[in-house]
Amino acid sequence: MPDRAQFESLRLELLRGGTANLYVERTLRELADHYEDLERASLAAGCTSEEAAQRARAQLGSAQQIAAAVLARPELKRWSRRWPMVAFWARSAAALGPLPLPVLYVAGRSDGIARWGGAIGAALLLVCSLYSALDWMIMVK
Amino acid sequence: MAQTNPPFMTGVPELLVLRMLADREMYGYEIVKAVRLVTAEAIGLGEGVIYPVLHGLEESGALKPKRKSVNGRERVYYAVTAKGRRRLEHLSDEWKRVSGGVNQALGEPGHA
Repeated sequence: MPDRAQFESLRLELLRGGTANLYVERTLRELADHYEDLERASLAAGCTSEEAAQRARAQLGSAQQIAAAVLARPELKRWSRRWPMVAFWARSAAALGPLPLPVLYVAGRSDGIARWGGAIGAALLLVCSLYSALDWMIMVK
Repeated sequence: MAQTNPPFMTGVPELLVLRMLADREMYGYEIVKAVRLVTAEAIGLGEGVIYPVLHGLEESGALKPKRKSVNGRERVYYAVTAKGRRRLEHLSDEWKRVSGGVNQALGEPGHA
């Protein structure tokens, strides 16, 4: 750590592992500051800039070590990873809840345009709900 | 009944971090330097892995982060909360109990 590519790979690994965005950003920012402090200390001790960067990288540890340490802590994960069943029901309710609304709207109208509009709206909502439910299931499993 | 010691090894970084922060608030780099200094480099925390420890303690309410600008650089300082002090006390007691037991075993003839 840390060149841009390693930072990016750490970010992806943490996000993929379910770490909350807040802690991903905080970890990266604080690591960058820490790296800068280590580099400055080595420069002050008389190292060349290349040596200082090398020492700072070694002292900070690899992206894999840091990612493993973060991912080992369930308390730093997104709530949907900490309580997947709660997240499933919340998302399902949010996705499927509004489904009857266009149907109820159309039921109160007699003209054809409103019926067609309502039917298309209901179909879209149904498809979107199914997509989001599938998307969520793929992400969680 | 004999007490178990689940935080024996896993609680050591937490214990050290809380102990360092009990005296004054610090940021990550300072904490690592302080741990090295007070333990005469016997315990070298992996420098990058200090942040999950800090964030875990923060999430449990033992630490409170505060952003501060010092010499033109923005830092996240950590301070121990009342809950953190209680946790420090608990971890210290655990550590003394366990290390006392180990010392006793090491000092006892026929067991060393």
